[in-house]
Amino acid sequence: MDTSQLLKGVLDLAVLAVLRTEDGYGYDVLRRLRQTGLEDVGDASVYGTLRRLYHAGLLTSYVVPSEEGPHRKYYSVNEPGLARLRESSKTWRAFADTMDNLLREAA
Amino acid sequence: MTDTGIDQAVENYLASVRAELADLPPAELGEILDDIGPHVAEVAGELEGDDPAAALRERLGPPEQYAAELRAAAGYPPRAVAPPVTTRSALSPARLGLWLLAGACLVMLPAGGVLQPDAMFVLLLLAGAGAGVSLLVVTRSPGGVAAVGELPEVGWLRGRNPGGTVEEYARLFQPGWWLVRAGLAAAAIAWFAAGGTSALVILLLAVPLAVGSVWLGRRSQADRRWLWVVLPLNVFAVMLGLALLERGGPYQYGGSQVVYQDVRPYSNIYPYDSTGRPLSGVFLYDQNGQPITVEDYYGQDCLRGRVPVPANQFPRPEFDYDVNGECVVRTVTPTPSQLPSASIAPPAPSGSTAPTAPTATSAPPAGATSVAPSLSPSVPGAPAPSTTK
Repeated sequence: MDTSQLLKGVLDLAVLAVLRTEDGYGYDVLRRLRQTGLEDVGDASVYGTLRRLYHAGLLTSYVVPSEEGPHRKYYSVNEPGLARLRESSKTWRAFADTMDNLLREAA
Repeated sequence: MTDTGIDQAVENYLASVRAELADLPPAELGEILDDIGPHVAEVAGELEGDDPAAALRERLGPPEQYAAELRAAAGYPPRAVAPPVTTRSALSPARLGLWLLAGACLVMLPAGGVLQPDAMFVLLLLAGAGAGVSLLVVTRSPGGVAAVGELPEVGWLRGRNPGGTVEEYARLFQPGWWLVRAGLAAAAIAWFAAGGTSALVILLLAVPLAVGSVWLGRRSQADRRWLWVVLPLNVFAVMLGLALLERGGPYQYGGSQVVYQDVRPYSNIYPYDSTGRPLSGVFLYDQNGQPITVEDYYGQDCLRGRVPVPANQFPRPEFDYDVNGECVVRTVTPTPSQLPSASIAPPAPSGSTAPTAPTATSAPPAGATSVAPSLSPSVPGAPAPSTTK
């Protein structure tokens, strides 16, 4: 099954989870998502998701000047973002459990 | 592969993405490029090969696809379709036509105002040519007359008029205006042809002109092309009407004189306060601070040789002639047909339009200056003075 289809629904949750451990700039977030195993995540999708979460008031951003190359814009999860993450985690677990049960019965 | 080649490829790729997202607010677009700029540069730096541009496309996908993916993930609205050509091109036939028509109307302002046959003829010719060329340009263009209505300028005008209230009023008063402009045209023709204004001539002329005016009005409602004739002519008619009024047409427009009511001029003014008490020594001024006087003051002859009374001090003394032909002051106590009751308090006088201070010769007595000209008359109706000798 193509995981990119599955990713669409949970990219918000994945981005929030990655940023909860440590603030990060766009490419950084993308790399960490890939390192955890989400290989199929699209570059542009991650940037779009960051902008959408930022506009939803779940992320804050700050610019860090860089010695080599252009400055970097870091994103960090704020309080509403953490609340959203907790809430979405619960939903995800319930959903994943349901799917697990369903698939176990089918197996 | 060279560094400049990579830089060029990154720049081109980002430019393409920017072009794809050009409909977004500039600030948001800047934020996006702050995010993806370092990313694309970093990705390009990791690439290998002779053609960095192709490698970049290989790695990130075509910029169009990249932009589309970003747009979808960010939840931006789909790319706005290009607005119609009429609003984008700076000088469309419709716009040229609109401004030519506006110019024709503008020329009509002095044309109606000059009251001088030669100058008026030249200006009319100019305005007519402008409107004619405008109509020609507009009707020959593919959009036709309708394209003018879709111009942003016209849209802006409509925006000034929320709910179409102006249109509603215009529709209500339109038939009246059709008759008024016929009357104006009649007065103008009488003025130029006979050098004067006889009510009968104007009336005789006005009847056929009114028929034509109403026909033109109804015609232009059905076929908007007639607006190119009607709009400049309307401006002309309004200006002509104003000019005729100013030059002393059939109706004298008194500067600072209290003019006619019914045909009889006022001969005197009797002010009352809000409790119905008659006031004396009241000085009247108009909105410009000019003294208000009555025309053909009856007692003018008797005032000669007496202590001068300011012309705008009311009530004026009333005189009678005794058997010897001498002037005798008489006491007049008018009985107003309608007196203000205590419950209807007059509005508080506002000092915002206080008249200029009267000159020394007409200085009102102390205490009378509180009567500001902005005060609306508190004794409505026509007081009918009853005379007691």
